[in-house]
Amino acid sequence: MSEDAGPAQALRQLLLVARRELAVRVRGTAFRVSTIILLIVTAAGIAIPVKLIGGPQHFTVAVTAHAPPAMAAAVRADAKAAGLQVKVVSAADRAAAARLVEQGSASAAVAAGGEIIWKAAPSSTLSPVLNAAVQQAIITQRAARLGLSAGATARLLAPVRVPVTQLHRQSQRTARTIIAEVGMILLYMALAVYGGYVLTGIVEEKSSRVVEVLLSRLPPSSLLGGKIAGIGLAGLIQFLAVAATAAVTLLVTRPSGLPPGTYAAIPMLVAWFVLGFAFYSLLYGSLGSLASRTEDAQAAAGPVIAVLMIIYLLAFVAVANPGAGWVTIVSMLPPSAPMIMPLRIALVTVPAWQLALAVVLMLGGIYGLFRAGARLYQNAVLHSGARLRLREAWRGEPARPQPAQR
Amino acid sequence: MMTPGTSRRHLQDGVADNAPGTREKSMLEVTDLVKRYGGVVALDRCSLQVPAGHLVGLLGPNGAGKTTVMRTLFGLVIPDAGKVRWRGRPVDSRAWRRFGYMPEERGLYPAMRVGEQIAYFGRLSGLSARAAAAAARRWMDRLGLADRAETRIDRLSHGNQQRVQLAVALVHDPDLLVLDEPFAGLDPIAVDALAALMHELCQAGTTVLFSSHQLDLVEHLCEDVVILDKGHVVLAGRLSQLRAHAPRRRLEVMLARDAGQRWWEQWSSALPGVEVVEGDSRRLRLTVDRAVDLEKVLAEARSTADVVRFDFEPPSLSEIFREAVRS
Repeated sequence: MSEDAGPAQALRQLLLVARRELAVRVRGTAFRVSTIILLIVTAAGIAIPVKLIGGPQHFTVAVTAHAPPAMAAAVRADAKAAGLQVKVVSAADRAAAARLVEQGSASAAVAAGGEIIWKAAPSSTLSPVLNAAVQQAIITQRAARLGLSAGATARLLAPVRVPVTQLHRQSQRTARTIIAEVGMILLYMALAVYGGYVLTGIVEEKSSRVVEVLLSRLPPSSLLGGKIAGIGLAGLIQFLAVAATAAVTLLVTRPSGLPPGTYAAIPMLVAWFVLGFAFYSLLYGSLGSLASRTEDAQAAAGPVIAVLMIIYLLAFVAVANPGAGWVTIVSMLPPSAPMIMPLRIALVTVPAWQLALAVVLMLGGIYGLFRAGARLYQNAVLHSGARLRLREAWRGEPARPQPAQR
Repeated sequence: MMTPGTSRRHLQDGVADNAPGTREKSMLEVTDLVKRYGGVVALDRCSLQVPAGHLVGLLGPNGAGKTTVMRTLFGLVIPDAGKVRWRGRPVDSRAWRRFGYMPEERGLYPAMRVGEQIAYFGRLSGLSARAAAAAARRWMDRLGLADRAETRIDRLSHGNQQRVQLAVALVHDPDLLVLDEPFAGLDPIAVDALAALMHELCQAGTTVLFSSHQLDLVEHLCEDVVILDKGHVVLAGRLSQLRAHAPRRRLEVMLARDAGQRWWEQWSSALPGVEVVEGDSRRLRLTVDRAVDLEKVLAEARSTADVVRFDFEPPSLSEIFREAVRS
C-alpha cells in the first residue's frame, strides 16, 4: 500500500482525518453537554463530601461580657490548634448573643458560666473547640482561686504530647484509597466511552460506505490512526477539563487530611489515559471494522469490552491488597497496566524500573496493535454483509466473495 | 482505444493491431490481474489498457469482476497476481492523488455539510485549504449545488447526493476518473447532464473509465469499450471497429408481396451461417456470419419474390455484448 510511497503524504492525511474527527466531536452537542455534566459532577463530587464531612471551616463566635475571663483568647487559641478559622465578636449580654446566633451572624455564643448557645444542633467541628475553650477558661479561673500563679496555670495547662505508634501505617489509607478508586473509575469510563466512539465511528463510516471513497485516497493506517488521534484528542480535552476541575475544586475547598500525592496523581492519570486510550481504541477499531452495521458493532467489540470489565474488577480486588505479587505483575502488562499502574502509584511506592517497564511494554503493545489493526482494518473494511470472522479478516479471504457487482 | 490482454478470440483480424492505443501511449495499463476469494475466482488474468484522454466503458454481466478491477486500480483490493501501471509506473499513493473514484456503493458523511465535505476530500487528495475551498465552490456551481453549500448531506434529495458524490470524485481535477455505475438511479435529464460532463472532461484531457449496464447509453457516449466476463476480458476495442469486425451482422429483408408462412424455411437452411431472428409473411430479420456471401442470400430471397429492402447493418453494442458474453 501507499505508506512506503509517501510517508509525508500519509502523515498529512492522518492529521487531516484527526482534525475532522476532533472538530466533529467537539462541535457536537453531545460533547458539550457531557463535558458540562462531567465537570459539574466532578466539582460536586469533591465539594459536597468535603462540606458534609468537614463542615464549614470559618466560624464566628460571640462572647458576652459575662463569660469567663480570657474566654475570647482561649477560643482563638483552641481554634488555631484545630485548624479552624474562628472570628470572635463580643456581645453586650446573653440576649444580644442569642440574637446573633438566632440571626446566623454567629455560629455559636459563649455566655456567663461557660454556657454555649447553639441555634440548633452543635457543629461537629466547632463544638469540641468551644468545649475545650470553656473548660480551659473555667479551669484557669478555678486555679486562680486556688492560689496558682498565672505562669503555674499556663504550665499546668500546657498541651501534653502523647507519643503515638502505629504498628501498621494506615493513617492515610482511606483517603488514598478513595482517590485511587475515583481515578480508576474515571479511567475506566474514559476508556470505555472514547473507545466506544472509535468503534461507532468506524462502523458508521463502513455502513455509510464513505470508507471506500476515503480509502481510494489514503492508506487505511492513516484513516485508522487519524480517527483514533482525533477522537482521543477530544477525549483528552474532556479528561483534562475534568482533571483541572478536580484540582481547582480541591484547592478551593482544601479538605483536611488529603494525602501528599493527590495532586501528582492527576497528571499521572492523564498520562495513563493517553496510553490506555491508544491501546484500547486500536482494539475497538480493528474489531469494529469486522462489523458492517451498528447493531453488530457491540458484538464485534465484545472481547474488548469483556477484557476491560475483567481488568476493572481486578482493579477493585487490587485496591484491597496493592502490595500483592500478582498486582505488581498485572500493573506492568499492557492490557491491565493503564488501570492497575495508576492505582498502585496512588497506594504504594512503585520502583521506577517497574513504571518504566510498564510504559515500554505499553508503547510496544500499541505499535503492534497499530500494525495488526491496520491490516485487519484494510481487509475487513470493504467487506459488507455478515460480520467477518477474525481469521478471515486477518488472511484477507472472506469465505464469501465481496458483493462485487449488483 | 484499448487492446484486450489475454483473450482476443473475436479480434483475430487485427483490431488490436490497428488500435492507436498501443503500449507506449497507454496511460492506464492493467496486466494479468488475478484475484481469488477463497475458492471463487473474481479476476482471471484480466488485462486492459486505457489510453490518455479516452472515455472507456467497462461492460460485463453481474459478477464479471468490473468493481473488483476498479477497486484494484486504487489499491482497495490487493490482487493475488498481476500489475497496475499508470504512465508506465506501478500505481502508488502519488498516482492515487491524481485519481478520482466514484464507487458503486455511494458514500458520504451524512452529517457533514456539502461544501465542507467536498473540500475535505479535496484536501485529502493534496489540495491546500484555499484551493480545496475554491474547487468545492467551482464544482458546486458547475453541478447546480451552489445554494446547498451549507446543507447537511442527509437533508439532500437522492439526485443532489449523487451530484455531491460526483463533485467529491472531481474536486481535485483528477487525471484518471473512475466511475462505477455512474448512471444507476439517475433520471433521464440527469443522465444527459452526466454524459455531457463526462464527454467534456474527456475533451479536456481527463482519462475516464466507467462501468454501466445501460448499453444504449454506452454506445452513444463512448468510442471504446472493454467487455468483461467471469473475471476475464472477452472483448475490447474501438466500438466502430468492434462492430465492423463483429463475427455476425444484422440483415433485414423485405419482399414486395406476401409470400406466405415461413417462406424462408427452405433456403435459409441451405445457407450455413445464417440464422433467423424473426419473420412474417413479408419481412425477415437475420444474423449472418461475416464469411457468408451476401449475394447468395440475396439471390435466395429473390427466388421467392422481388426484394424491396435488403438492409445490412453491423450489430448494436448490446448484440456484440450478448455475443461476447454468451460463449
